[in-house]
Amino acid sequence: MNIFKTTLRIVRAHLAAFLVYLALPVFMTAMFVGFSPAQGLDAYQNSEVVFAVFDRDQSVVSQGLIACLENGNNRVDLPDDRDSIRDSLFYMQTAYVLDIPAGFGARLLDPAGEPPVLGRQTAPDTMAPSALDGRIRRFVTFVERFRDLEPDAAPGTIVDKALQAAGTTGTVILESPPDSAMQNLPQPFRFLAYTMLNLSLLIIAQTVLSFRQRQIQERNFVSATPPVTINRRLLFSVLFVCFAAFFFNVLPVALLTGRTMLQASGLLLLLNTFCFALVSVSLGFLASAMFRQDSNLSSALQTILPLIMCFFSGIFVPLQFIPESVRRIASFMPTYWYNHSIIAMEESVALSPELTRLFMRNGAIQLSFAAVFFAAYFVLEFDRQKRRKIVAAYHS
Amino acid sequence: MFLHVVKYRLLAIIRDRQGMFWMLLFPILLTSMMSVVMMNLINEDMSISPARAAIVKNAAWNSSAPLQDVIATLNADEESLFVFSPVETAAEAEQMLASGDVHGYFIPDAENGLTLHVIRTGFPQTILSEFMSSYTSQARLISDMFRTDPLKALALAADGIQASRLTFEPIDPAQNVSNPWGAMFFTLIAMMALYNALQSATESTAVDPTVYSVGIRQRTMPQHHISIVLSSFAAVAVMGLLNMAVYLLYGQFLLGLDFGLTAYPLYAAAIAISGVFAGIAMGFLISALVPGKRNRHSAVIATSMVMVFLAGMMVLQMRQIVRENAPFLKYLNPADMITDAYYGLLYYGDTARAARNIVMLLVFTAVCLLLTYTRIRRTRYEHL
Repeated sequence: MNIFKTTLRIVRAHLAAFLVYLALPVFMTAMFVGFSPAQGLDAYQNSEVVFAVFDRDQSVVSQGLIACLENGNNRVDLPDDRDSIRDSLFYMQTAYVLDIPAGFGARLLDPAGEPPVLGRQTAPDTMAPSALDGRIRRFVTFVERFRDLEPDAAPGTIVDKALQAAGTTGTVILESPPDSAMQNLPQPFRFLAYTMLNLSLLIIAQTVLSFRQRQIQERNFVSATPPVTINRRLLFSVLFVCFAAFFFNVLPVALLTGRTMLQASGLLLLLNTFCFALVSVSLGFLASAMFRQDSNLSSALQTILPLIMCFFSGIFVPLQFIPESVRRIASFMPTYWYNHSIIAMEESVALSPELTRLFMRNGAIQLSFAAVFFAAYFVLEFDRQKRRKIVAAYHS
Repeated sequence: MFLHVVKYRLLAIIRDRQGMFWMLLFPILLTSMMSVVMMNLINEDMSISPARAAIVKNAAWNSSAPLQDVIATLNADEESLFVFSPVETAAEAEQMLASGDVHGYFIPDAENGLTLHVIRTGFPQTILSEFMSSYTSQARLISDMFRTDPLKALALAADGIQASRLTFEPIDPAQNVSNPWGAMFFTLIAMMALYNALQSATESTAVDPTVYSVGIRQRTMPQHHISIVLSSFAAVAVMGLLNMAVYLLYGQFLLGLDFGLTAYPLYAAAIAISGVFAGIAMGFLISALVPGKRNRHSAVIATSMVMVFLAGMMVLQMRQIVRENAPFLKYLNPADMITDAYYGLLYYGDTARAARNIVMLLVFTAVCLLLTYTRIRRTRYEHL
């Protein structure tokens, strides 16, 4: 019990870092669950484009154009200043900013006049603007056609007819509606790899290093409790605290995603996370055995190792953008296989036997990593114990 | 006396290997790693990839010459947003859809024009759906017209589906952002600047009479408190600026990242210098507020990491989310100011924005130092 209490005290000494790693998944889950599309999609819907309009024309045509764009898209208000427009587009809060210049309607309705011009700015790295471009061209084409077909018609009538014609849609059939759980769940799980690695390194490395301090070791040597018992208690204490931390890591994700977690895809993700939890713990033990008494090296490792593993494995950056050579290196890291399962689920439409098999295979690979790390830890520890016995015998 | 103290504090900083690791080596390692991992992402041409679709060559397709023309024209256009693959059977199209070769497939229908089949939603599917709506609505208009005025209908059909004279012009010609991912490196510069706060915390602890004997000696010197703070500040600043210079030169010339050293050397240097000052001043303020060496370091690391996170280090859009929901934070977060200054300068050549952020960073530094001074100026130690 004393060792368990000491472990908790060591964790409390690093409470700030501990809380950051526990809070990160909550934040990421809230973000992804909050921003993800509506769940339970069983009929096809076009993706909404977020756009802003500055209407300097205020004509029937410009208002008709805005009405046409608002149909199925999301119009937002944006301050009419350069920095706001730049920021909103750059950070992809808005995909499209349309500027309808004064006189646009008059130009469009005048077949002999100058061609109509629209100002626009689009966000980088998204296909969304192309969808809105198509809609604008469709509306403008219909206005021009009805203008030519009925030269005497009032602008309002032309715009009404153009709106009606442009609103005609074809039939889109969504074959096998996607599993909503598989669309929303995987993203928050991805970041768990980073927090779990950090938590295990923080808890295990700090606790084991504290127990390896010279004075504490000497105290333990003269204690009535045999070293083997102390080590066993330390092992169980650390494991208990680690898994409790992982539980509190996963709990908010489960709570925020609700019942979808209980679906088969959620359970598969939990299984994948459990395999990775074992990897994290084994890696924590291995790190503690490798950097025995060097707390500086250990704290550097705690920061760098999870970052390297997560960066290379595509936890922070989409895997398709990572160079092939880096991906090849990443395949020797357990994080890669953890993330591989998550990506496979994201890319799948519904749960299939192939996907389940892939989860099992990747889980087995992660367990193999854990086994190797544990084996290496025990080899190093056994060697150390043997040398310590020799030193103790010499001193006695 | 001031320079004497600066010299020895500087020596102490240089000899602190752990501090040097966090201040210089760690940011360099992180940047190198990010640049290796993200090189494809940064150099990638983010031009829009076309939406791919299969189209089934059934009886309706064979009897619809206009549809074949439209598809042939779009396929021939190199800048087209669509790539159509005509296939013989629906089963073949279905197979292509399932394997991810296409985003959807069309089945021509004599009555309804086209029917689109997809297995997921997204922008490629939306673009295909928009194309289908355009085609269907135009086809419907032309077929209606044939009943009333066949000549006009023929003229419409000859125009094609989108024959508008409309042109688009950019609102902001200075904006030429093809790839936003490079902005993540600006947050690394911000992190590098804020990590100077760690050194400030170490310095504050080193001159704390309750912790080290050096602090007792300093407090018994005939020197004003503000002078002690400023000499520590100067020592950390010299080291911080040297580290920042090494970092920026390494990033710009060895990793090939654009930190603005060639295009805007003065502004880039001014942002880096004011950022380092802000980081150091923030460290002194936190150290004045938080007692104990370990607590100070934890508080500095937690504050710095939260600040760079809010500036978009891990999630690029975070900066804009914060700006929309808590705009006042931009005046309290030096990482956001540094990121914003580099972003404005390197993406838009906006020197006014950079200058505004530099002034904000200097004001932040002055406020932090003033608060630190007001916090420590009345400190008395019973045992001295």
